[in-house]
Amino acid sequence: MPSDIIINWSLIMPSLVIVATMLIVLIFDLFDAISKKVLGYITIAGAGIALVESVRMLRTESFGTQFEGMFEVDAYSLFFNIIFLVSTILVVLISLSYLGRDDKKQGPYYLLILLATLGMMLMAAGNELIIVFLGLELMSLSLYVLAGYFRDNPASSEAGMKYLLLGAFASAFFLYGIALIYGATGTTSIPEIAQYLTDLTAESETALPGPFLFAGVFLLIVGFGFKVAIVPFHQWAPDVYEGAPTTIAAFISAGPKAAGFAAFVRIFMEALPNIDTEWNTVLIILAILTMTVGNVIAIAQTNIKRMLAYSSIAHAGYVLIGLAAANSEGTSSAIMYLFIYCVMNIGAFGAVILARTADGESLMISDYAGLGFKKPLIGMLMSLMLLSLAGFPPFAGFVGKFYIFKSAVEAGVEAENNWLIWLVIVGAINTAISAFYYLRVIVTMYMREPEDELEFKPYPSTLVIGLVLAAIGVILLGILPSLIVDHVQVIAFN
Amino acid sequence: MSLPLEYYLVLSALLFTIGVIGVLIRRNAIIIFMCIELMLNAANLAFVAISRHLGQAEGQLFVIFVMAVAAAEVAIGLAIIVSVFKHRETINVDEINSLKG
Repeated sequence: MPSDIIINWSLIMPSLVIVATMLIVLIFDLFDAISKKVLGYITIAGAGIALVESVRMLRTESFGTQFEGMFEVDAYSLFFNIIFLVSTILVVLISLSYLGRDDKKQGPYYLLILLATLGMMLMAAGNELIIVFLGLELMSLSLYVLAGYFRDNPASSEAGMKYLLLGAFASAFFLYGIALIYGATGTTSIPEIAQYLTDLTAESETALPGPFLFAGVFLLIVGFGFKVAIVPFHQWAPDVYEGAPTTIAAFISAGPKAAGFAAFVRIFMEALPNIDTEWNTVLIILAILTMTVGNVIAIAQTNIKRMLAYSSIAHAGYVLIGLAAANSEGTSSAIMYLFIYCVMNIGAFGAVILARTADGESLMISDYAGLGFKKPLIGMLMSLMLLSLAGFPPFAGFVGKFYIFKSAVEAGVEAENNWLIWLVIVGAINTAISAFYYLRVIVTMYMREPEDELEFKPYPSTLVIGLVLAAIGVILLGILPSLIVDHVQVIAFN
Repeated sequence: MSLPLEYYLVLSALLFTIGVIGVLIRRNAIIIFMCIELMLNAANLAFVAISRHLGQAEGQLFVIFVMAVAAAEVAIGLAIIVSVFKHRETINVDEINSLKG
């Protein structure tokens, strides 16, 4: 009945703004008379408008569903929109100077970043497994191309191929998981799956959803595990981060990870709350593995991009602690952590880009020797981001970790679940381990003499603006956590 | 007169497993890619069979989306594999290993 479908355009405004920006970038790219630098600023403007609109919708609580309930606009999806759009803006700011003067490279780059952002927004808002799948693929396909974007660089192509093969492999698992859940419940709509399971348990206490559902959930976890790089599905991450352009490594480590968790939380908290206890143990084990493997391997890295890759794996582990707590505080602290993590991780990658030498990039940690005094701006920003990642007060990373650990301890005490308490202890030990490799970079910068003189490029102003914005965010959220905590607490599902 | 649902699901599970094993043991990037397509099509088969069994149109609809996604994935995948081949003259994934730490 097409006449019955009324589209409430204002509800899907943030996504529409992104689509419109995409079209404008596409059209402007055709005209040679327009400087291609403009495309980057158009992207920032579009993402900025979408961000303002998302914030406004969140404040006025203009929620609702769209397209037969497939697209859910609630506080949860709007807050994730804010995370994605802030990441996109920061990444475009650090990309403006990175792409160089090659005009041909600019148009598709921003187009793909916008497409990936749109995919993430669909994932967070998708109230239907197929929408989540389409969003996931839209995001992933754009990212495969972006990872291999510097075609004349063998490392970049290789990163693109590895990301493509493993990402597509994971997508296939994800899709098969959806097929099995469809077979078990007869629907792919998240509220209807939840309804089906509630009815099933209401019929008889012992009724089990059947092996199909469990197999499907298991495959979904595998698929998500690959996308957000949790151990043992993390192997692609270090290679891709190392080979991909640094700006794209920053992008992949931030938004897509948040989007993966967004869809993960929505599916598991909303559709499958009744099989809570079974997958809770799985989450705890995954969290312990992810944190420990990520942090321990990060110690051995000599390349700063690989180190940040392993550190971002470890951070996914911290987020999993919040999810393992399986209550609304745990979820909201995990969401808050994702926001903080995105800002500080993009900041850290941005600081790596800032330390560019004339002949390319200096990526070995030993190259940073003596930089702290020679280039105070690089030293300061890099130290700030790394201290925040390590979780030192008064930076935002500390606030994030504090709330995650707090929610898990409270949930553990409440449910008398000793596993959760142990999980937090492992998390705290891991934070100490991580401080070692983060501080090592800072020590190298301030206390080692440089071995040979490296010629550094002058600072590009847009990159500095992006980094200063990220730094302000990290410090502000660290000193005044209530800016974000109060807003996040209303978001989680109950 | 139709075969029971189980037959289709078993076939689809078999295809999926063949795909997974292929990805894990084959070393040619294009063959790995074909195995991934096989996995996607196994899921498609499951969707169609279940949707027919339930008498719904939804499942069949999803297959069309998935096929579109798979086509896009092939386009991008082959392009990336070609660009790797230009640098290395090989698409054996064991030989493409400059990134490691």
